[in-house]
Amino acid sequence: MRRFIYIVVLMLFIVAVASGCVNKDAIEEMQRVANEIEEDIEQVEDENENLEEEIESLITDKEEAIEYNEEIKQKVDGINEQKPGEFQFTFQEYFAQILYLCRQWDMDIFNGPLASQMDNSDYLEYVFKIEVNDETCTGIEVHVFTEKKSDKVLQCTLIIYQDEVYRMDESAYGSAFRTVTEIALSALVLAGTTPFEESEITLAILNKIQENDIATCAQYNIGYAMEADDEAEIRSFFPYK
Amino acid sequence: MKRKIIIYLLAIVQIVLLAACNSAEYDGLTEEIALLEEEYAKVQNENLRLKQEKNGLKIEIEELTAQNREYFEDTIKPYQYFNVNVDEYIEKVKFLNQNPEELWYNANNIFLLDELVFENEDIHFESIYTCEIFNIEDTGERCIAEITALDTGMLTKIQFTYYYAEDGEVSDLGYQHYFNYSDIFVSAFIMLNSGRDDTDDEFEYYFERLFKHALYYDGNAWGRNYVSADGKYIVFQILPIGLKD
Repeated sequence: MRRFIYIVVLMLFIVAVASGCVNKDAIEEMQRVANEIEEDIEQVEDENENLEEEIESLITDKEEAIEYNEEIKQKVDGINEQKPGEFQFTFQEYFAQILYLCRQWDMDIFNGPLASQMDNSDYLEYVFKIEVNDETCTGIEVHVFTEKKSDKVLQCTLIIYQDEVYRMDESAYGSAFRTVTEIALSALVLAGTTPFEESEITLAILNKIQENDIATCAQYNIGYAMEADDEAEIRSFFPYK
Repeated sequence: MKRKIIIYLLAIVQIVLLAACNSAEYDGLTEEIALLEEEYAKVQNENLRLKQEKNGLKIEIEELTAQNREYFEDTIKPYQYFNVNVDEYIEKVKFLNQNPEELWYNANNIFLLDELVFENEDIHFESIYTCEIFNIEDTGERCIAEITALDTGMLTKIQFTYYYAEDGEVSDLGYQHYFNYSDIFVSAFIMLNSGRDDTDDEFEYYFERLFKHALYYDGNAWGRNYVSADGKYIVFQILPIGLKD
């Protein structure tokens, strides 16, 4: 009997110890799992914080891109937009065309274009001189007016000072002066359409514009006016429409 | 005998009590783990949402950038750039600043800064390099050079802005610096554009044309000067003509 009680007590003891040990291991394992999950949470939270920062920066980038999109779209629209009273090309395009034609006609630009802002207006005035290839003639002054922001050409005015006007006859001088006028006018016709390429523009067309032929002026969108005083003869070309 | 059994039983009770405590702790941990798993799921969901938002934004920005590039390219006319790389150009400007004898025979009389510092800023599809040439605080005179290039590195514009002195008087120092440096910037451009280093007659011809007549036909460049409406500053620019080769 006594042995039996001993065995029972011993078994109870073993069971109790084993149960305690099992629980302890399981608790340790649970603790480890809990710690791991906590670490994972921290890691993901850190990642989320970084993501939030990146998103904030991306939102700023997006806002900037949208702002620039509006700005550049306006610029493109401005380039493509055909406003009444302005040609569809910039001074730079017009000047490039002038240079191209001058080279073809053996003329030269005497002074490069000097731009100045007209008073407090939104307009720029460029002045340059096309040199007639003859020592006795000083050339024709070209004044080109543009809209400051877009630099689109509004008007082109040729000034031929009175002492040169008399040369506009059938002589070689006159022919050269006419060529300068033709260059300035041809450049207006060509600047917005087919720059630097052989064109269909003919002398007849240029003459018709200078005669204010309605159909031709409308077709090429170039109007013409001429005035003269004691000092100079002023020939202006402007958008017809 | 009885005493021994009682001691054993007490030990067992103690162990059982301990086991019971452990079991309570185990249950507590199970609950805590469940809560943590719930929290983890939440932060994971948030992570997923943020990643999606980030990717969405990235795609939107990519689309906007592509569209903006298209618009930007629409504003660039054909041939509206120089065949000169901006880094090479800036190097050349710095070189001439350090070696003025390359330009001037009487280089000893030329007063230049020890070093030119260019600051670069990328704005959309362009890079703008700014360099302060001088800033005379006493008079308010200052001059800033601004070099613009496409993101391909091709030079598109050289600009000098000279702010007049507050009293309208041009100081000797301002005058000297302005002309010395516009000489350097124009010369560096012609040298790189024409591929010539010698300041021979042809170089002089190009220089004269571009600097004085604001025109450099062979180099496909023209110059533009304009004075601000308020008369406070003057801008000198070298721009491409846009001529086809």
